[in-house]
Amino acid sequence: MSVDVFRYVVNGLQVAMILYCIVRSLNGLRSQTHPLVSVFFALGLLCYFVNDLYWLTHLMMGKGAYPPFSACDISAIGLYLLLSSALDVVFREDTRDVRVVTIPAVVFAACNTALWIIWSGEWFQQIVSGLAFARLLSSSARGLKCSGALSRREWRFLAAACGFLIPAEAVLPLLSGGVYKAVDLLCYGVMFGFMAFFLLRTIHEHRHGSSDAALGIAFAGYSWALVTLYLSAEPYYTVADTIIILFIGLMLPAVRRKAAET
Amino acid sequence: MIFSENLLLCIAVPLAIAIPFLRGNTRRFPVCFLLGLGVCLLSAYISGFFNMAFAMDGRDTAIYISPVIEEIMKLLPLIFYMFVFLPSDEELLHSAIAIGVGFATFENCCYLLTMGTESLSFTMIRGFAVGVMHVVSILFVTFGLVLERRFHSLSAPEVIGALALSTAFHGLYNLLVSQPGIPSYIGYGLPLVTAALLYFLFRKLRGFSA
Repeated sequence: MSVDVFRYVVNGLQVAMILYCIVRSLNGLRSQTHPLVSVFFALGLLCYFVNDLYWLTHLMMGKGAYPPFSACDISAIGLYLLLSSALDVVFREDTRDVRVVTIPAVVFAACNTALWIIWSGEWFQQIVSGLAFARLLSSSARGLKCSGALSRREWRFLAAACGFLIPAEAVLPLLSGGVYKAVDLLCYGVMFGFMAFFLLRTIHEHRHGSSDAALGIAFAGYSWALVTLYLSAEPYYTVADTIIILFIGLMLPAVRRKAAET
Repeated sequence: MIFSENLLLCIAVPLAIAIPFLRGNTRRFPVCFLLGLGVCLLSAYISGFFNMAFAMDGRDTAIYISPVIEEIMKLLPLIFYMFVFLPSDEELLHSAIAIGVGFATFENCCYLLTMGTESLSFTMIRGFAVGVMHVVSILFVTFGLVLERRFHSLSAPEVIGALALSTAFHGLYNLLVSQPGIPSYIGYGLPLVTAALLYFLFRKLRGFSA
């Protein structure tokens, strides 16, 4: 199967999963105690749904790269903002000082944005997208902190991974030969390793943890998957995009559980 | 060659003269309809500017630039109305529909005057596809605004999120109809199908509150 055909299959599956999650999250809305979580989650996924459809249509029509601020980029901004709003609805009552995690999350998002600008050459649109992405990352970090989903040791590992990734990805274009391959492989190892970690921890929290922890870790896992996706080149990009389908599916039970909680 | 400003005057003057004779809530529809007409003309100016600034052809401008400009322009009077006059949810929805209808009417008039009205199928497509699309896209935003306000969660990110959704929908429609054949047929059907889905969603959420 060629990469192009595989991309169609992955996007088709993603669209099907998103549609299923939208319908399921809006189902029984009247009986939910926290319906706003479901509403924002569904609206965010609706943005994602249109984004995927737009991208698929664009691909099928054989058009080249679209210019900045096309509907595809704008729907991605909508996705980040609405998903972060879904998290904020749950954790906005929590008055704990979470700056210790939200500030580094914003810095990490800013560094990611800088890398996107370097790679794409487009700065204005990347800054706007980066602002929305920073909100999603800071909301995810806040959700993780407030729910207590991660232990201190896990926080340290996560911080170390973020601290390694940005400088490594920044110097990567300057390297060559064996050193380049080693650093590149190490970066992918860290990114995909943490994706696996978030997947396992999300499943664990669904089974044994509180609804807050399940929601916090599911959204953080999805955010990390997005970070991995945007820092990856083909064929890793397609692999990350495939794993994102699992994260979307894992966010749904967390949202439904929180929405139904009395 | 058409002169959009002349056309706008022709449609707007009878409505503007009728408004002082109307009382209460009945005024809202023609006022918002007029706003929709004006916003459509302003959107055309701004899209034209970006068309020149980015040296894009008309088709690419319609696919990539116009959806963003038009949705932002349609939202601006609605946001102003919502924050200054504090209307009820029902009033906000009615106003949004009137702005969308006004926008679609003016765009259709300009298009039909430019392209001609000989083909019935073409005029029907303009009415059922583009006309409905502008109403549906503004309903997306309004629906988001109403829900967010009802749950006391209205803030800039949520408004921008709802706007992004309507822009993406508009962009998808423009992209689909730009390609002849099956994609354009899907595009023409998209607004009507979405309108039907929105109608059922409205019915489901009627009376729904925090």
